[in-house]
Amino acid sequence: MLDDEQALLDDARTALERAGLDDLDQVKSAYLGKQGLISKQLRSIGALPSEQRGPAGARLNLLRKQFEQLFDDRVRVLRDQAVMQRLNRTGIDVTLPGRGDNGGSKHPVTHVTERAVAIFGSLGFIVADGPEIEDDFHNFEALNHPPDHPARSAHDTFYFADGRMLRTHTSPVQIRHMLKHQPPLRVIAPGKVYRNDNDATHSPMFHQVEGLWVDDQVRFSDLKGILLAFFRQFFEDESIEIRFRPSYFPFTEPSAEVDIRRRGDWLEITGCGMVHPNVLHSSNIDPQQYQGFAFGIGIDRLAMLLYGISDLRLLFENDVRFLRQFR
Amino acid sequence: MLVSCNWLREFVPQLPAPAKLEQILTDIGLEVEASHIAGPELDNVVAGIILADGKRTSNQVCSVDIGRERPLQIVCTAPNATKNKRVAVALVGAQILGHTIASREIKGVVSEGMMCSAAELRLGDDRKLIIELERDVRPGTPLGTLLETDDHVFDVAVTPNRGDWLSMLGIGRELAAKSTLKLRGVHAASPIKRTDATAIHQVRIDESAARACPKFACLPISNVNANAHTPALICQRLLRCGVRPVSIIVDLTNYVMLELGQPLHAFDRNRLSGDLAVRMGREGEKLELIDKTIAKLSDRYLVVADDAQAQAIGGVMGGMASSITAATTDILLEAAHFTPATIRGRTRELNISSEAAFRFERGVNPNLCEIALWRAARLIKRYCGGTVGSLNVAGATPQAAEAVKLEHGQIKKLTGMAVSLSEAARRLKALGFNISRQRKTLTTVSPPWRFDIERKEDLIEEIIRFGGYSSLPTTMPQLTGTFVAAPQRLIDATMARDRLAHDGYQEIITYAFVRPHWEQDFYANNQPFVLTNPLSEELSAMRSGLFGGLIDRAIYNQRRRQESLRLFEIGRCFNAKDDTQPLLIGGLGWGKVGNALWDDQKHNYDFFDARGSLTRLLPGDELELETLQDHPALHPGRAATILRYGKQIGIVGELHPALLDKHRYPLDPAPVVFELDLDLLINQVRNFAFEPFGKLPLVRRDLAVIVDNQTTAAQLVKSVAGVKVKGFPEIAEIQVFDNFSGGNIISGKRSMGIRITMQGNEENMVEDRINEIMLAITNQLQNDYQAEVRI
Repeated sequence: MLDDEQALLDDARTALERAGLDDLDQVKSAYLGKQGLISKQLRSIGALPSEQRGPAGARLNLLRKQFEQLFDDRVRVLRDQAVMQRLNRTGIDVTLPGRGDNGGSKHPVTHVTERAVAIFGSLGFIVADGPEIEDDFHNFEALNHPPDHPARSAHDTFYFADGRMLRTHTSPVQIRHMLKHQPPLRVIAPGKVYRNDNDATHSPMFHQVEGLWVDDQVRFSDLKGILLAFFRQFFEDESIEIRFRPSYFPFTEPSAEVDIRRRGDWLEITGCGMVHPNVLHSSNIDPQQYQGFAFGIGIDRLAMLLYGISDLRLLFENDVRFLRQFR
Repeated sequence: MLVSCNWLREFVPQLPAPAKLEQILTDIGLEVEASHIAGPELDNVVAGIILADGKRTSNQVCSVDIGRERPLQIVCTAPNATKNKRVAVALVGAQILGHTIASREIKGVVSEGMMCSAAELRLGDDRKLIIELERDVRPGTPLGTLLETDDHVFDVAVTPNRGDWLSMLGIGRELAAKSTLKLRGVHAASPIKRTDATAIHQVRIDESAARACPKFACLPISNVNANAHTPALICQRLLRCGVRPVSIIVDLTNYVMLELGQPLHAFDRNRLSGDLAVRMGREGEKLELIDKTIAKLSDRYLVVADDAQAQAIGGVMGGMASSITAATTDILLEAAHFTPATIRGRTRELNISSEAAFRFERGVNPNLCEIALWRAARLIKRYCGGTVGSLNVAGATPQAAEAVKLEHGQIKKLTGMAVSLSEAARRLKALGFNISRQRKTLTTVSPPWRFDIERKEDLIEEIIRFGGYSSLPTTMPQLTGTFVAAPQRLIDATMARDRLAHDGYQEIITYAFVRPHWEQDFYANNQPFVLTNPLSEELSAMRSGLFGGLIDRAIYNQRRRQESLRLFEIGRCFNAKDDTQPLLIGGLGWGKVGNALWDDQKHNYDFFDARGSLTRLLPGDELELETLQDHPALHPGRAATILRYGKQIGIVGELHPALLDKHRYPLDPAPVVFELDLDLLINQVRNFAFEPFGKLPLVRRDLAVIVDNQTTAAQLVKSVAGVKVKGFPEIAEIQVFDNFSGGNIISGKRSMGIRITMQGNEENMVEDRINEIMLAITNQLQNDYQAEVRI
């Protein structure tokens, strides 16, 4: 390429870069139009001596192609820019919040209940339920609390005029279930229970999950094993330890209070024991043939431990600022 | 129960230190709920003897020997600061009620200390009299030593099966057995030899009362000083165990009860007329008890009566008429055995509290009657003087409990822990059981203080309890049975919670007992289940629905500046009328919809938001809504019953404007609430079954009709659906897409847009067929609802 042809190409590049999408055709015709600089040179080839025509033609054709390449590139760039400009004009603020309601949530007590049910469910415990206004037979008598038994006074029972009561524990569900089914039985019964007691650490309504396993050879040591396995699953902590302490419940014999050690502290967590023969008997299950265990765990307390809630009252105040944290 | 460590040590002198003791108590099943050092701190307070009182001098200065070379000069105005009294002296430097005692001049005399009242030393309530100590006190002895202020007090949770643990002797006995330490006999409880044989009180047990009261013992003591001071250490021990000192005779009987577990009662013998009889109460009989309760008696109560009237409710409380007073000189001490069934529930019926009944209803060792009487008599003689008469016992100690057998292998079968029969026998013996062994069987008889051993399970618990629950192995049970049933449900509580939470609702849990007026306001229910003993009037009615709790909590959160609320609750409700306890789902929406405040599409939650939520809660279900005009809580023009296959499953609607008054349920704008009966839905089966659908293209046509305002969308849709079965099966879907009134639509009418989706069965739909169908539809609508097609 001759120097003046190179200069022409450089000028063309500059002109294209200065041009907008609307001016481009003008630049093109200045080079390739009838009177265009490249066209004129191409036309002048005919005037050259014949031996020079071939090489000049090849050179000028190359020059034309190079210009066309420059032109096409510039068109693409400008078109892309135009598209970008148009899209940018119709852009949105992607950081604005989305439409529709934020998701709600289940109550922490529900989360914990469902978690306990799922863990026990994986060992074949089925869920049972019963009424909350209970009669004396199911809440006390069948659970080996005869009338006037001193253990009744610990229950702070809410009564109705007809002698019925709000159930003071989920244990009546044991009785109702056993009256309908024969062993082997594995039952879990979560639900509301009521005691006439109201202070910083007691709510007059709270939640328990009752567990019952009756079979021909289930033992007290199995109860310890099941509870330990449960609490390890529940808290996802294999380092949890368990401790049984002697205690007394009329409907179990032997009975125990259960403590678990989590993060170094012993916590009293549940009461349990081997189902009392009188209870089996009241439920039409032969105590000679079957034995089993029962336990009752406070769900509200589990929720407080699992989520680090320090004040029981938060659970029933239903402030949405509290509830939303369990989404 | 509160337990004094030092008092326990009188029975088991070698007991370990309190920290260790606390561990042992917990291990044997006596949970220590709290413990503290008895106190108070009594530094620089010592015993002194008043050598000379200042009663006759103007400046009331006493000379007090405190065991030093020189007696102290102390000014004291207390009336009982008299010569030879043993008193508590606060020395210079002692802290008394926040003040430091110093030598100071009073009425021209330097007073070198202070003689203190119980209140001043924080030992009791008495402010007027100074403390009097016992005669054998050596001057100079620190008062803290005399009163054992470094004693440890445990608050232990005695389970209702262990009445024998309601005494120092009972707990000491168990601790001695557990730690293989010696249990000392009850000192000074042997019969008094020199008694007045002529003083005897006759007593008989009526035949009708023989089972309730197998044994009744009494012992007269004459010429006692009922006004003597209760020794300071006895007062302190009573207080440490939670019993308020009253007067010497009562205090000493209480002391013996705490010590041995046998409740005692002291009558003023001169206020009794004639012999005593133990009998059942009579209808209409009344008795004023010592706490001033007027007890209405019946044959449920065991009565101790004299010739004239009932004088005590046996095992519960004595009567006022024969109680000890300051004027008492002759007393009759009584100790009896009452069976638990005779006492149980009686204090609750009478609404009184009684330490005696608390023990008898849990069981008291019947052998204790005589021992306790002699122990009390010795204490009374020592501190109040008097002459002890003859012991008279009616009835007899009941026979030992029935034998319980335990066989080899039974311990392991129940507990998973292997304990040999000989080891089991050793443990039971240590606990006081009588044991005999025949090869592989133990025959056991429980000691007289145990009332809780009826069957082998009771024995097994004793055996592993005494050995320590810590050695219980941890095992997993053998799994039998089969899979848990997994029904495909239409909906259950978990699904409902998931769906509502996903739809933006927060689950709340409110009390099932509510304000009675909520029931009235929201359900026009004036006969709810009512608690007889509610926490308060405001929490006395059982809810029959969930609206009260939802609205109450909406107001609560609105007051905390929430702008938008979606709440739901799933809980049992209670219908007194038909005695049912259905599980309901309740929901509430209030305030702005959506959290995109920048968006101008926003509106307040209204009926149709609730309607949408219901559809998402029960998807795939054709819910029908029917106008509901007479619900007390709902706006009569904006409420509906929810039907599923023609059966009512719930209600939805805007809260009635009358309820929104600022003095009632101040919510603005009005919330929309809904309620569904989950019990009706929960056992419905949901079977998914695939239905093939056509592959030909869908065709849509819109239709606008003008109808009367009263004509509902559901009626129009139903009308069009009727066309489908009249030979136009291509109609696939009918949707209302527009609802407009005003503008150029005449008043009383509205325009409804209906979109018809059609699909050919075997070939594409042609225009002629489409027009044919649309014509059939317009004709039907004209026919059914005089619908006018809008062009």
